[in-house]
Amino acid sequence: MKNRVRELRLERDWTQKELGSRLGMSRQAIIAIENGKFDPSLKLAMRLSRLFKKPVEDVFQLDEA
Amino acid sequence: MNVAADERESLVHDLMVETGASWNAMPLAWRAVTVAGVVMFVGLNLLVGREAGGPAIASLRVLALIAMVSGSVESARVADEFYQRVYLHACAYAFIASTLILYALFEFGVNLGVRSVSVVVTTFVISFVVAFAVNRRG
Repeated sequence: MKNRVRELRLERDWTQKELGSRLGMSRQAIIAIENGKFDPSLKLAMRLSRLFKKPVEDVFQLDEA
Repeated sequence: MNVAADERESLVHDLMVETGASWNAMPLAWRAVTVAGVVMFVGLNLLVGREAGGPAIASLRVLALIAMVSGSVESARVADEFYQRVYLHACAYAFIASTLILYALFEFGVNLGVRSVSVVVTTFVISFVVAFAVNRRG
């Protein structure tokens, strides 16, 4: 999965720690998601998308390759 | 807001901070159980020699170990889904590594007895750090 979490976070001038706090997640979770090392659960992906006010498919895209 | 500065914190720093956060997220009763288990286990091993055991002391030792392990499981349960994955990977690594280590030692005539538990725990701690690093950056 590819995602735009880093891009959307930086657009809002949020730190990884701040984004984690808004979601009740650790900074490590945010780092791992941004690095593409960790695909969040559907529930967390939807919470992230809601926080960014974007449809979930705008934030996460299936990597066809 | 200085985003760059915030992102520079180290892996070790984050591990310490978030281990603390996980500890704080545990209900007070579970923290008390865990601390009581650690204090009882260390106390029994330092103050009461193994040869001076008996069923009562043995039962207390087992109870203390159960308290410590239960506390660890509770700390994993309250962690976020990233850390739950780290715990899961650490358990898998530790299961494989400690099984191989203990079996190999036994085959070469080294029977550790109760110290086998220390091998399992140490293997888990190392596995946790490895799993954390792998899942964080890859």
